[in-house]
Amino acid sequence: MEMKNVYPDNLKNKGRGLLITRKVFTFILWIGAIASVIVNLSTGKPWWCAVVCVSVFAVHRLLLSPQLVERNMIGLFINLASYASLVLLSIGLTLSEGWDLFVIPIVCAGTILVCTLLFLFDTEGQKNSVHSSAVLSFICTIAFMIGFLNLQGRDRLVMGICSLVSAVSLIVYTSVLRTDFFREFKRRFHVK
Amino acid sequence: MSRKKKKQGDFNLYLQTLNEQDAKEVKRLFTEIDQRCCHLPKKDRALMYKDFENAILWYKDNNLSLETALKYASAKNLGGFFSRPSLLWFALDDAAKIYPIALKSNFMATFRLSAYLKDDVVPQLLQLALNFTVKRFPHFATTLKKGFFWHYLNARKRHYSVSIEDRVPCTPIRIAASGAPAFRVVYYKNRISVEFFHVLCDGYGGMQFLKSLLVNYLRLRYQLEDDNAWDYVNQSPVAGESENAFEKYRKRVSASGFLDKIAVQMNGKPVNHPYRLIHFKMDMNSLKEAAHRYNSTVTAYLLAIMFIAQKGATDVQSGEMAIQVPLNMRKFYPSPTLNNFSMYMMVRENIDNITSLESLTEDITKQMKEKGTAENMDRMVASASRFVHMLRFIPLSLKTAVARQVYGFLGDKVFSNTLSNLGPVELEPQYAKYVESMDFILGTGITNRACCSLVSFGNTATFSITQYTTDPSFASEMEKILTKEKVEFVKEGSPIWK
Repeated sequence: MEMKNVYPDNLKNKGRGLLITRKVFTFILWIGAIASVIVNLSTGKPWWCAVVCVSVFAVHRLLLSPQLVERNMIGLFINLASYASLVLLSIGLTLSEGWDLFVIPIVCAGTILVCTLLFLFDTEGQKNSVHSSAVLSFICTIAFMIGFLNLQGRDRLVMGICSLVSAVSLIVYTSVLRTDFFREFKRRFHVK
Repeated sequence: MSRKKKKQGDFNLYLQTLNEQDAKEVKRLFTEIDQRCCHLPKKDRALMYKDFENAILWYKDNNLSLETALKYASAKNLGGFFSRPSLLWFALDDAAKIYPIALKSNFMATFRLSAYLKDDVVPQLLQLALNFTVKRFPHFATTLKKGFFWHYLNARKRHYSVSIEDRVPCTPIRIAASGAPAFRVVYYKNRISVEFFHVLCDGYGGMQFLKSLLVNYLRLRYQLEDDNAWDYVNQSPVAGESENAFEKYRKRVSASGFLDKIAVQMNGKPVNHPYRLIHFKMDMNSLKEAAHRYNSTVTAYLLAIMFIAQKGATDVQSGEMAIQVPLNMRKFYPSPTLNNFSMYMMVRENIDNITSLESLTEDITKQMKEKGTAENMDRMVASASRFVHMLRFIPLSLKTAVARQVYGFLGDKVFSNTLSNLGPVELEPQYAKYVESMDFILGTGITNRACCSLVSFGNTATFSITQYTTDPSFASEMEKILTKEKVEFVKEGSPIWK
């Protein structure tokens, strides 16, 4: 029996090309990571392949696995800072020691500052997205405070400043949003 | 001059032709829109004005008076929905929780409901109808958000747009952007379709939305008078409509498992998007008559045909084939919920036993009676609720990582096909006369080579096949059997989407 076509002729299968591109790049990254491990195992210390693997993971998460739910500027910055910190930490642990405790707080505090500015410039638009930045601010305030109390020299100074920046941003969020801030937290942490 | 500027110019030109009294009435309309949309962002409010302008121009172009235009395109129909801030949020129901967790960039559990009208759709009026419909379904006027333990729906009052059909049906809805809705309304010629991400609702909930949209549209299009359907569309949302009915009706019974034996799949190269859609628009009387010849229901009869067609679409000679049949739980519990409230039963047949329609219909009827009982459904509800309860304190990121692997590994391998029967859809006579038929498409295939669905309207039952393979065997076997069974039907469908 003849079939009557009731759909437009040139419907797009949107995102298909992008999906193939992503698969190709993911494959290349995997190959790169595996090759680096093999080469590094044959050359021995230092374990630079850890940096390659962490970087590959970060690139994959940031560029090739887009956020499928809730993609927003603040979230992007938080992710960028988190993965950048991971890469920096892996460099600090495997290749060159002694500067990671100085740089990572600056990266985190810088990100928190940018997120806070984004929020202040567009409070209405960003009020539902600010939660991830608030969580990061809270974690950073505590972590950097601990660092401040336990470290010495320039690391202690940078930890203190970054802890202050994080705490101030947290105060900004709560004072601007007031009840909305706590309402948002109730939603984010619901177990219903 | 761009089309947008031209349209704007058209409305201003039209305003200049009006007498003082009429111009005042139009101005009053826009003042009221302003009041009723005071909580919409400026950009969305501007789009709302545009929708009213376009609708008024359509009435003018069709030689209808301004009085008629203002009566039907009244700002009162917006209710107070857009004038209040977006404070609500909704936890996902137990069945919906898995959908965002299993979400991938090329996989989203979507379904689509369509109504075929007797005349071509007027986009300007459909847009206005959507603006009027949203207020009745606050649960749909939301955006999906990530919590620490579960996803949830956050109210988002915005301008929801209709668009012409430009992408393959049931392809993932882009929900990532800030405030993006989890449904879309599209039109093509005489068809109005709504595609839903399953987090919002099941087929029943989706159909209530489509029916309300149709009532609003047809009322605007044919200037119909108020009636019960119109009252439903304009009543305040009922509290129970967004309840998690699984939680409410959970009983203390032993839970049944979700795991089952792996089923034999049809052959054919799988594709991860609908490859082709085929609708068999059947004469309801001849379908019922054919089913009664085997002393069975329409569902059991179609399941029997599907089993035979499936057998013809695979080279595997042993094992079991299974068809998943979703069940509307509202038949067992009086819940008004528009969220997901469906469970399913699995009808299984050994390939050796798939021989004749007589034996199959008898066995399927028996299986459906045994498996579709309230007790069995209670056990499934208990399983779903217990599972959700068990996982509630595990962080979402962990759940997502595990669920994606499990879903990818197990997915839909325990069944070979699905038959979702929405049953008969009814509309008040004054609206029904403008609707030709309806269809229902499932878009959730992973391993399965086809998903089937059925919905009837008036004397037309539309059996739809979403084909996920390049192999056309299943659909052609179905056609062969239906023809042999003397079921009268018209075949409609899509071109191949590569």
